[in-house]
Amino acid sequence: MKGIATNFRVNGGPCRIDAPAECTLLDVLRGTLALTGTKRGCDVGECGACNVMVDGVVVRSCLTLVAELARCEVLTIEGLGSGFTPGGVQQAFVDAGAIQCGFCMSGMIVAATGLLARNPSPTVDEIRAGLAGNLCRCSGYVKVIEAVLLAAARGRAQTA
Amino acid sequence: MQTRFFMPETIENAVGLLADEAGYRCLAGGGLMVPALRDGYRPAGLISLKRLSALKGVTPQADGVVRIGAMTTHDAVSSASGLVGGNALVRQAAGRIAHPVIRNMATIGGTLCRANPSADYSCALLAAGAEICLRGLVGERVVAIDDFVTGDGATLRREDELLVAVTLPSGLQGSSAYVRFSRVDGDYPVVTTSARLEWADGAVRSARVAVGGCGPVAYRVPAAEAWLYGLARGENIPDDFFDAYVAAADPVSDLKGSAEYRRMLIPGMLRRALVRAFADGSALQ
Repeated sequence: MKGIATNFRVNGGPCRIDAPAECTLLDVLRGTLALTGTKRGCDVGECGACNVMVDGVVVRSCLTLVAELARCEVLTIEGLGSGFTPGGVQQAFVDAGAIQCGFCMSGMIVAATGLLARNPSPTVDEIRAGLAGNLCRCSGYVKVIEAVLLAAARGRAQTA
Repeated sequence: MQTRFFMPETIENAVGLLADEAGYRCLAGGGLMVPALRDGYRPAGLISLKRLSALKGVTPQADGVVRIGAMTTHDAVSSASGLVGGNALVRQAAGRIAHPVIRNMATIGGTLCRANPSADYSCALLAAGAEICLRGLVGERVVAIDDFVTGDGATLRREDELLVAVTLPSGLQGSSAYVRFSRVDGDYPVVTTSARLEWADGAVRSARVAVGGCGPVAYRVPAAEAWLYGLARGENIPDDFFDAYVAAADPVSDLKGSAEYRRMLIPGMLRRALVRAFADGSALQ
C-alpha cells in the first residue's frame, strides 16, 4: 500500500516508514519495528501505557501520527536501557518493587523520566500530579511513587 | 480513498490548503482527531499544524492584551507568566485539563474548535472575554467567544478558515478564578465556574462570570453580572445572583450527574470562584 514516507529517528537510529496518514507511532513501534516494550492499552490516550518521548517531550504514541514525525527523535522504553543494562529510573523501579504485572510500567517509567528531567527533586505530591494519567490496574501506585523518589535520590547523589 | 497528508510551514500555505479542497481537516494536538481516525474516520486530507511556529506561544503585548497562538499546548499556557490578574483563570484552567502528558500534546485551538461545553477552556475563556482570530484566504476576522461557540461542537469557524490565535483583554486591572468539579481528577469536569473582575477604586467595575457543563454552551448571565458592579471585597453577593445562574442552566443528565445534581452544584461553585476572585482583587485599587 502506497503511503507517506517519513524519516525520523528511534532510540538514536535512523528509521524510514511508509504508512498511510492514519498510522500512529504506536502502530509502527509495535508492528513494523517490533519494539513491543511500548504497550497498547486503551488506544485513545487515556491510560498512559504507550507513553514515549518525542524530541524530549513525553507524548502518547497512540495519539501521534507517524507522518507528523519527520526529523523527530523518538525515545522508547527500549532506549532507556535493557534488561542487562537498565537505566537509572528502570533500576529504581526494580529495586523499589514497583512492578506487578508490568503492563503499565513502560509508560510509567517514560513519564517518570520526563518528570525527573523537569523536576529532579519532586515531592510526593508532585510525583502524584506528574504521573497522573498513567493507570495501573494492579493499583500498585504506592511503590511507583517510592520508585520515583528513589530514582530522584540516586540522580541527586550522582550529580552531587 | 486514502487520506492525503500535509505539513505546511507557513500559515498562508495552511490556509491555502483549507481553501483548496473541501473535506481537508486540520490536525492540532491529535487527542480528538487520532481516536476518530482509529475508529475509521477518513477525511480527504489532514493538514498538520505542527510546523507552524507562528501559532505557538503566549505573547503579552504592551497594552496588556495577551495573544495565545492556536497551537500553544495546555502545558505551555499553564506555565505562562504573562497570564496574570484577570487572565490568571486561563492559566489555572489549562493546568487542570486532563493529565500532564495530554497537556503536552493538546492545544487551545484544537480544544476551541471541538467546542465541548464541559471543557475547562469553554468556561474559562468565556469569562476571560477571549476573542478568536480566524484566518481565511481574504484576511483575518476576529469573533468574540460569546458568538464563536454556537452549540455543542458547533462554532462560527468556516471550513476554509484557520483558527490562528486567541486574544485576551488586558488583565492588569483585574482578578480572576477558575473552579472545576469532576468525580475523578483529569476527567472532563461535571460543572465548571469562572469569574473575572475588573477593579477601580477598590470596587468591582465590571465582571464576567461563566458556568460550563450545564447546557449546550458555557453561559453568562450579564444582568446578574451587573449586580456585582460597585461591590468591594467582603460585601454580600445577593442570593438573586446565584438564582439567576441556576435558572439559566440547561443541563443534561448523564453518567456523571443528573441535571438536578448539576443545578445544585452551581451556587456553591460560583461562590467559590467569586470568593477567590474577590480575594485576589483586594490588592488592586
